[in-house]
Amino acid sequence: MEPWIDDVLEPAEPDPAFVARLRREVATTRVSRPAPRPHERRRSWLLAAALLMTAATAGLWFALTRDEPSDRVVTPAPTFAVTATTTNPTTTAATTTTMTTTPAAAPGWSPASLPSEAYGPCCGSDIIGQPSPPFPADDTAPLPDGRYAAGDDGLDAPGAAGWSTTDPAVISIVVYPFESCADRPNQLVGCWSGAPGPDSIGYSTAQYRTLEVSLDEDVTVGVIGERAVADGYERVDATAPGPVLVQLLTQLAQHYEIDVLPIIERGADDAALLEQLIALGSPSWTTSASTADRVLFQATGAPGVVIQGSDRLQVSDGPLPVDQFVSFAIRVTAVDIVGGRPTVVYFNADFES
Amino acid sequence: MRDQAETRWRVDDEAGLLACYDATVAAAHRYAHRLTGSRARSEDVVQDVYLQLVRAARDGRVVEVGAGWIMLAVRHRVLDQVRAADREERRLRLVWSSHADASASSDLGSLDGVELSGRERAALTLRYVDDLTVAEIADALGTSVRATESLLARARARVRKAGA
Repeated sequence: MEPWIDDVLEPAEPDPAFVARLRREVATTRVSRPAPRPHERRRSWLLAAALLMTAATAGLWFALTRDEPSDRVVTPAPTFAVTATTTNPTTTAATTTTMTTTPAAAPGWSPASLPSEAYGPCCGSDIIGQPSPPFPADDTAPLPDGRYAAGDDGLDAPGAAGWSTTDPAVISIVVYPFESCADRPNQLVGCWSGAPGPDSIGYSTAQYRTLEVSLDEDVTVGVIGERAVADGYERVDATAPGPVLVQLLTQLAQHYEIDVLPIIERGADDAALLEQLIALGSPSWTTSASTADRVLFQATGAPGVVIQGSDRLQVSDGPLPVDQFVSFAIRVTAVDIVGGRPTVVYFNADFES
Repeated sequence: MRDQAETRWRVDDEAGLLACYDATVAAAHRYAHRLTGSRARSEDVVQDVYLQLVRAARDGRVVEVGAGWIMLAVRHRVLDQVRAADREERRLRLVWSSHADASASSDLGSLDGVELSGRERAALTLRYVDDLTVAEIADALGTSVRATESLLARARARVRKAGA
């Protein structure tokens, strides 16, 4: 370490009074759990069985009464999944944890069919839609009504936009106009088929605006995610009022810090990370029984957020900061502007690297 | 930070949690102070980190931690604040661009005659205390490598100017 460092970046000792006060706070929190007595264990199993039966009945009723196509329906809230005292039998030594209660998501997710622009550029194909209105020449003039591409990176400040735990009800987005692929061949993000059709669109990052979007009741969010089914994964599209997304983003941030970071800290590779997340036994982490190549973060009623492995969570030898992770996992893709303000913001939580 | 000895503590009982606290709190504070340059902010960060650990331990989500877990949590907490401050500053500049001197809203901390922004201080700490590469710092701060090189160069220039 260079000699001037300690002079400039002073490693100050803590105030003893602060240390003592915080120590008292730590010391007064009970963290250990007494082992359940035999009759309590029996009672837990009975309670769990009763809840499962109730849930199964509700699920049957739901299956019989719904009229949407099955691949467009968000799984009903699995409120029975919280069995707080059941120890996961597959837990390894490194993850000897018990199931814990996940805060219930706010109601408000509704099945929807989201447009192509909501998925964003992906997979060697074009985005399908209509070009956006041109940006006004005056940078201070509001954007005309229409649909625009959106991201969380500005050219001048990559990663500057996005979502933050310190201001969770606001998301900063960078907006770009969609343009026809035919107008600018091989120059637009999202025009990747090589044979654009009349509805193929993409966007250039050369022209952009940054917007602060308050995720309040006046804003609708559309989120593409997944759900795990017996033989793999299904795409789930859903919409919700802005505050419902805030809850999902916040829950994901909490679970990233509490569940994911400690596993990365232990040096887990991709496969071990997914395995250990599932071994936590939390209803927040699900995977398909047949293809466990990814884990979904599953908040109640919300589209599942795809987590594929530590390659998406780690940069070099350190994990992503929480804000960056959440912005990356649930990435903004497009926005509808009406009357000069964002009315619908689209996100893709189904990104596969 | 990479040289932290990997002593680990079980935090699923009160004694282990306290042992972890006693063994790491001073180092966590020293590290937080290097990153923030402020005693008040260091205490806030350290308090947040241990209360997060307590919650995680109480919920059974963390069983065992090492000093590295604590230091990494401190770093993430500070970097989140730095990034949030950047966002706020940009927002203020947009709103007040015609009225305010942009530098006035910088979070400049003075120490021994050296004035460093929160971002500069964090970058210097990550580079010279944690021995991270410029690319790793860029990742941590959410900015480009080129911008991080400039940031470090500016910070070193301030230090030289102050004769530190």
